[in-house]
Parts: sequence; C-alpha cells; structure tokens
Amino acid sequence: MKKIIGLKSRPAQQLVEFLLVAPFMIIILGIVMEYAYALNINMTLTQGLKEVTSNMYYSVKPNMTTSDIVAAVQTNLENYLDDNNVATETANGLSLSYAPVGNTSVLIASYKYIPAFTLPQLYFRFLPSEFNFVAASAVPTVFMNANNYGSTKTAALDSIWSAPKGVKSTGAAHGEMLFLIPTLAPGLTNPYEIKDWNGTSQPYVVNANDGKLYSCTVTCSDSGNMFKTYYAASTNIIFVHESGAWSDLLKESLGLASSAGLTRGNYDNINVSLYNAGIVDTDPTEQYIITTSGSKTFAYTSADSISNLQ
Amino acid sequence: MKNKNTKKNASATMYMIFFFLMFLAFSAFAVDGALVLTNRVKLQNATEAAALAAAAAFDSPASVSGVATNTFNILKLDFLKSATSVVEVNTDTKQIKLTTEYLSKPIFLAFLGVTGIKLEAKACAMSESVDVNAQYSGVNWVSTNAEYSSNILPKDSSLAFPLTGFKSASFYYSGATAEPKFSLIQANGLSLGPGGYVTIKLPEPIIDKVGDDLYIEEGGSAKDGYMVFAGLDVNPDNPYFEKGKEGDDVDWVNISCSGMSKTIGSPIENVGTDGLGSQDKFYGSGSFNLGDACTGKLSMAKYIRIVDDNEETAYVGTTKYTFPGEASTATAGADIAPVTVLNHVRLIQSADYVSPSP
Repeated sequence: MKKIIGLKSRPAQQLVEFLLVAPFMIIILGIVMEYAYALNINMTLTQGLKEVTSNMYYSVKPNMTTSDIVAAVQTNLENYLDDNNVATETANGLSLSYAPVGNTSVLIASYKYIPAFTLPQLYFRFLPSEFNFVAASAVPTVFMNANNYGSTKTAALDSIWSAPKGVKSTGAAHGEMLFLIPTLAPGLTNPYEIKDWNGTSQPYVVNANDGKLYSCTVTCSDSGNMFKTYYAASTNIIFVHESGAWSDLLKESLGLASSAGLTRGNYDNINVSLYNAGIVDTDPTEQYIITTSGSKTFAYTSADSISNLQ
Repeated sequence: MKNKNTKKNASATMYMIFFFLMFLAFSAFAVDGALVLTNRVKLQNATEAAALAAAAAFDSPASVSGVATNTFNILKLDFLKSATSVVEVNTDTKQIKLTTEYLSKPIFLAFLGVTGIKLEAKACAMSESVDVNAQYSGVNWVSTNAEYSSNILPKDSSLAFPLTGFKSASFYYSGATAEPKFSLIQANGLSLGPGGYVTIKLPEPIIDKVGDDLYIEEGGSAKDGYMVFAGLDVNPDNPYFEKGKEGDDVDWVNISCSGMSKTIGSPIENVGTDGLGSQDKFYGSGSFNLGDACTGKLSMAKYIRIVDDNEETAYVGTTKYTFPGEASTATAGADIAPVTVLNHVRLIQSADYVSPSP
C-alpha cells in the first residue's frame, strides 16, 4: 500500500514543482518573445523605410508639394508594414519626418510597439510598456522638393505641329519649281535648258543674255515669250547653276553630298533667306545666292547671270 | 530509505532549473544576435546612403568627403551614435569608399562579460555618365556598353525603315493625319522627321543634381534645332505616350532654355508652334539642367521627349543657315545621337573601387 501511495506521490510532487517553476518560465519565454518580436519590427521598419525611399520616385507625381511627397512615402511605408504583418494602428504612432541637410535629406520614421504580453510589466517590470523605434534613410533633397510641372499634357505635345513644314503631302509644289541647267544652243550665247521637278525638259530654252525663251531644234528661234512672264504664274522658285547635270543641281538644291540613290522629296513653304550648298560642296563658286523677285525666288551661283530672268 | 526519497523529491526542480538556464542562455544569444544583426543592417544602410549622397556631389569634388561624413553622422544619430567613419575619395574615377565601424552593445551577453561586438560596414559608390540604350533591334545610336536600359515608346515602330534611299513622302504622313513621325536612322543617331519627335522612357528618373543632368548629342555637320521636354507621369502603370492609347497623363516641361552649348554662342531661340504657343528651342549638342527648366525648377523627370523645331535652319560652326528643302532630305530634322544621363550615381563592388594614386 505504501509502495502504491509512494509511487503515486512522486509524480504529483514533480507536478507541483513544475507548477511552481512554470510561471517563471512562461514569463521569461514571453519576455524573450516580446524582445524578439520587437527586434523583428525594428528590422522591418528599417528595411521598409529603405525600400520605400529607394522607390519613392515611383510615387512622385506632377505638381506634388513636399508634404504630399512625405504623405505618399508614409502611405507606402504603412503598406509595407502591413504586408509584413506589422500593425499600423493609431496606437503605433507611425510617423514620418524629414530633415534637409544640404543636397541630402534624411527621412526619419518613428514607430511605437506596445507589447502584447503584459504580465511581465504588471509584476516584474521586465518589459517596457512600449518600444520606440526610429529608422532613418537618406534621399536627395530634390526628391522632397515640390514639382513645378504645370499642366502641359502629352496631347498638347502631340499637336505641337499641325503639319511638318518644308514638306508637302501632295506633289502640287513640284510644279512651282524650275531648274535651269547650262546647255548648248545654236546662236545663243548663254542658254539654259529648263527642267521641271521630274527632270522633264520644257519646250523652250532660255537665253540669260536677253531673258527670252527660244524653241531650239536644228536652230533656235525666238518664241516671243519672256522667261519671267511666261513662268510668272506657276513658278515660285528657280534654281540656276552654271554647270553640271540636272541631277547635280537637284542634289545641290537638296543640300546632299551625293546624287546616288536620289529620289525626289516634296517641297513646300520653302523659307529661303540664304542657301549655302557649300555645306556639302565647299567650292565658293557653287554656293548659292538667294534673291527674290516679285513672287519668285532665285537660287543661283556667283557665276550665273540672272538679271534678265527676274 | 529516507535519503533515497529526499534525492528523488528535488529531481524535477533541478532539471527545471538546469534546462531553464540553458533555455535562457540560448534565448539571450538569440536576442542579442538579432540585435547585432539589426545594428549591422542599419550600419550598412547608413553607410550606403552616405556613400551615394557623397557620390552625387562629385560636381564639386572637394566637398565629397565632407558630404559623406556629414550624411553618415546624421543617419547614425538615433541608433548608432558611437559609430565612426573613414572616407576615401578618388576624384579621377569619381569613386568613393566609405568604411564605418560601430561597437554594438548586447543586452544579455553583457552578464557574461561581453561588453561589445565590433561591427564594420563598407560601401563604394561612383558618379558616371551613362548613355541611354534604345534596346531596339537594329538601332545603334548608343554605345554598346550602356548600362541604362531604356524604352523608346511605341512610336519607334517607324524605326525599322531601311537605311538606304529616301523615305517616301507618305512616310511623314500616316493616312489623313499629319502626325510627325521619325525619319531615318543614321549611323550616328536617330534622325527625326521635320517636326518629328522621340519619347524616351527612362528606367530610372533623372534627378536634379548639382550641375547638368542630361546631355544630348545632335549628329551631323549641320546642327539642327529641337525642343527638349522633361516628363513626369500621373500613373506610372498607365502613362499616356501615344495617340489612340491615351492613358493617365504625363506632364511635360520644356527644359530647352537650360541648354548649354560648347560650340554655338546663342543656341537658344524662341519659335512659335502650332499647338503649344511660343517655345524655346535649342540648336546642336548640349547639356541640360532640370533645375533650370523654362517654367520653374524641376526635381526629377521620368521621360524625355525631343521634338524637332520644324524649321529648315541649322548652325554650321558658329554661323546659322537656312536650308530650303532640307525637310525633304533623307535625314530631315534633328539627328539625335546618344542621350546621356550625367552624374548617374550607383553603388559599386569593393573590388571595382580604384584607390587614388599616391
């Protein structure tokens, strides 16, 4: 019987001993857990502030003020903490401030963690009633400055030009140009072949010495027309050159270095004040002089005489 | 028998105390270890931030060391007060190395006589100029070693046009709309059409640092005119950059008036537009500063749009010319060669840091 009683009494005694020690163990365990969790929050806060400040440009929108930017960063930090299971209740007092120091600003986040395990506080004061954490991160001060982006939207830039200048969508402008290329004509002292934009020869040859248009076959005969009146209505710009082929003249009129692969573009609204073909052809005699006569514009070189054509 | 019984009575308590002490010791290690780890992370963060801040100051090399020290001193105020720092600056390579130390004091291990654990952090950073990479097949308008990746927004569908010959007139006009598009790609850049434009989305924003922030190379012997706009989006996930696919808007500011040219005396002129009133434009290659935008200071930009001035004028040397018909040539409009972000700051590996020569 004693044995039986004795056997029963020993485990009960150990249980009592355990019960005496267990509360202390639980309290110590709670303290350790609270410290560990507090450290976790501290690390999360530090890492969170680093991440949101690293990516804060993503949140900066046009015309934000400094306080708008701080608020946006704080919101991002709250979201980060929420995503990482860190409470962001009012009691936690999450706040964000910034201090500009020259070109660098320091963002400072404050967070208050209130331990959930209150027993140690009540009886032993082993735990503080709250943990106050601070994290800091540096960003360029300009990030915190207000933007002055105004209100110019993309659509306004899209329509900045209603149409490209210098280019015409139709071929109508082609007929407004003539190219005068030196040629040989019986009896004429300074004859020029006349070609249109497409390189097609016109029925007349113009003699720069008298400004008359001639029909030339075996011999040249006066057509009775003057160059400047005959082409007055349809022509706006006339390119003249003392030598070379039509393709060279067209090339130079386009300011190209080579006539290889030459294809016609479209002219419109040619704004001629000075045209220097020397940009690709540095020969001074091939640099163009631009003059206007009436409604027509002449581009010619110093070797050309256009006085009778104007 | 009594003695035997007495020994058995205290066994549970002894076990408890023993394991409790063991548990407490391990817990103390864990908590103190986490505390050290936290301090190590904070020290590294502060060191990296200070190194980056200092690298951004290379426009004034003499101030770099001071910026690093001051920034670190501010960042350490609340939690790493006794931390110390050592700065090394190489002004030739625009690199900085910041080494910091902190004696982390444990809570529980202090009872065992461990009064502090020495932590060390190191961060290297540099300032550099980085070309924007178009990352477009067949486009070779940036250097191949560019680290800045970029997207030319979908307007670049026209960029696939072959390099030879003229573009037909219809190229400049898409159907009935007179919408400016790109012209041809030159070997040394992207040739905008007359009035054409290109929009570049930067993977990282350009921020207004000390000095110029952006450099645009205008290729060719004739230096054409263009306008440079800096943009910031309302919604990064859905910006508006193309007609017909309007998303949330992007706001733009002309920064052409901040341009500085090394070759043209007065590269900035005002030009009337059809849709945006009177705007400043810039001739040739130049550096631009966000802080001197035409309508107030900008802090940052995520997009750059370059718009041709739609005029047949250009500088050759220091003389301005008008080129009638230039708009009909193969490379009409401004020819945009690499767009370079100046003073780009980044962290580098310690192994890449080059110590200054003695």
